[in-house]
Amino acid sequence: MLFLLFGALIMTASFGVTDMLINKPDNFIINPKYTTLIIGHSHPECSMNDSIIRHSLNLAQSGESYFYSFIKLKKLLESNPNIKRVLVEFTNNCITQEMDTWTYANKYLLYRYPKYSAMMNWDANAELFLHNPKGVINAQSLAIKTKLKYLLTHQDNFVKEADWGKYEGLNHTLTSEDSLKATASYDSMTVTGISEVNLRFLKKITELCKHQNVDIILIRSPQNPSYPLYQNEAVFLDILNKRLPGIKFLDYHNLQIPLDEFADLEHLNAKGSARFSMALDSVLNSN
Amino acid sequence: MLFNSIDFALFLPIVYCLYWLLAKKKLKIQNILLLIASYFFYACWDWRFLFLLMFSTFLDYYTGIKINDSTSTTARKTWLIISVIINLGFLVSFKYYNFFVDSFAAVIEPFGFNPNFSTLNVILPVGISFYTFHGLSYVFDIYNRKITPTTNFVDYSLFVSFFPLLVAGPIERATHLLPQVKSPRKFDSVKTIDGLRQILWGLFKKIVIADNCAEYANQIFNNSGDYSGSTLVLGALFFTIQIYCDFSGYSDIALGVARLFGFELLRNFAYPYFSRDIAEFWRRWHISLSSWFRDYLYIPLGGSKGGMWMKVRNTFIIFIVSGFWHGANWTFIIWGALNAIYFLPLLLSNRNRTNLEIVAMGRYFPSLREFLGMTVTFSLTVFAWIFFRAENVGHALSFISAIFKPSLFSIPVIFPLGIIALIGFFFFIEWLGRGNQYAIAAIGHRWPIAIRWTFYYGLLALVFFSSGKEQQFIYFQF
Repeated sequence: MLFLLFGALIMTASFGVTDMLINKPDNFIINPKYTTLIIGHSHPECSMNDSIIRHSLNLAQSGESYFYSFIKLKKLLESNPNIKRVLVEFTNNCITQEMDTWTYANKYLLYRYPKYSAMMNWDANAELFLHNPKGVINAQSLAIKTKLKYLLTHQDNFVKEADWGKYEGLNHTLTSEDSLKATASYDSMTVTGISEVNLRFLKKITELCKHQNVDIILIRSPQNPSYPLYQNEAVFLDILNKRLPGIKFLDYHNLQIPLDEFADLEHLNAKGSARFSMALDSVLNSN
Repeated sequence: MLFNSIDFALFLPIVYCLYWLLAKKKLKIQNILLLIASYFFYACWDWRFLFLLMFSTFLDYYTGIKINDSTSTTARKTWLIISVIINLGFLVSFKYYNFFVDSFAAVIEPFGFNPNFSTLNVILPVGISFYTFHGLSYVFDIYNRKITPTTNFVDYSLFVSFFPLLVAGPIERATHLLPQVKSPRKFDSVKTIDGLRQILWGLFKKIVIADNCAEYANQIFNNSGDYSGSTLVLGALFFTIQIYCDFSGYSDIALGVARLFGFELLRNFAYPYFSRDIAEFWRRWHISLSSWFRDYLYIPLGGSKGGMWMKVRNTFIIFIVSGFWHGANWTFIIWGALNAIYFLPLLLSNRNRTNLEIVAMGRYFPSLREFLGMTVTFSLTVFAWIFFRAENVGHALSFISAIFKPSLFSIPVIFPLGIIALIGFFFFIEWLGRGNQYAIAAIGHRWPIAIRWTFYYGLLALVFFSSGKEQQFIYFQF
């Protein structure tokens, strides 16, 4: 019994110590030239080229729900007072129940928990544990491995070494045949239900930005007109108006983008991203 | 639920506490509790096959009584045959039907026939090969008058379904386990600590060694056409270590868990990779299965008595059946046949019962002769494991032919130094502990407590760092 108790003590201490060492502000300092942060999932990850949008750093990442984006943003804003503006992707799929899966399901949790666990408070851990206790327990060994690897071998900051996201230019080109096939594959998809957890954390993101005097802009990246998730457009706009009043929203979903500048129905390829990023840059940096 | 899962980590302490605290000295309640826990454990895999397990249990319980109560040899034999046919019928249907259908079609196709047999799309019930053999050993022992049947259905059901051994063995004998089921068990802190220690070693073998080896073995075997001969050899070595650590690790956990409840299960592995010849290897590898085949197949066929051809026949039968038991694929049959070929020269020259003692006992190093014996035996088993792991015979043959090319002498393109160091550490510990039931049974008993605990914490830390994704035990597919 003493062996088990002592072991539990060592484990708790090691988690605490590694978290403390990781959470030093120095580990999250980004280049002060960046005054705009881009967060969200794969849409902004592929569509917003931070080499074109001046003074911006794209930290969006595929499959990331607002729960993880909030944790990431909170830490970055604490450590980087130079950030004056945050661009957050808000699009049709951000309100669907799929986002619950992105938050709690094993595949996503096991990938993201190691990246963000050091920054998670009790509430965040409880949020995950209540919905997926096994996933959280399984993620502990991955989390501590990530932290120890960083502490022992890091050459750069935690943002880079834990891969918190970056712009990814896609090379694939959508053809009209691809478009038809992709539309057909979506046909059976029903867009029912709303992800309350995702909307709750989007709200937290807006409140965090307000509290930190940081400008927040919601952006809907260009999507192919055949994108099937437009079927929830009415609900999407309703949520935008009722739950996010007063938050600036730049809607580019209808931006004229040629078919061959899409990689698929919801992601721009590098060419499309360049077009969109230039348009966005001209709006953001015109003042 | 897997032994290396959160579910089991919750399940075990609950059952343990209920068993020792609530059931206390009441044997009947302890057995009922363990039986319910065992059925729950099995149902977590697939509740539908729980009924198959229960049916198989009842069948052998009933036929065991009937065999014992029958006075005529014909009646006794009839009941035995009923049990064997029904049990093996289920096993063959679930496990081998598609194999026989596909193989038959492959044989008659060259003659111009185009059969269109339908194959079954069935899930293989977890552990069917193991609990079927449990039950069969029981009826065989009754038939051979080694035991009398139990009239306590709960006790018998627990013997068949005891959760530590239910899904991947060891294959217990009624003569060994049933008396323990029927006897009161007392809490013993020394046995509890020993059980926990064996569980720890089993987890280390499975999670740290086997799962890490699996990653590289799978990568190399699944893309064998892309790698050099030396890398393919490394792949075969990784699989050799993977299958040993996976299976023996599971057995260690099973034995350790059983000891927590006051049971001693049959030892299943005795450091087979330190064997000096193939006969010794088969006395040390999957002992419960090989002894089952020896007692219930080999000896009834005549064993090694009779002329040379009978010995050859019986040896091939037992090894091929053993291979076939592992799976419905020609690769397993070839694996078994290869081992028969390895074994026969020793049998025919009456050298299959040498090397009975532990290698280099009392010494740190083996003699040159022992070392050469171990190296040759290990190499032969690695070669045979290629067939065991390959997807089909063609894959195995192309794998082997790709090894014997000039690239055999190149540096392997995959060379994970960390894992290889861990494997080295593992075999070092196994070598030191080869005289014990499991490698760390007696390690550190003379060390100061701080150093001993540091060693155990070190193993735990390695297990913890290597976990995070559950990989199923290989032998569950059998």
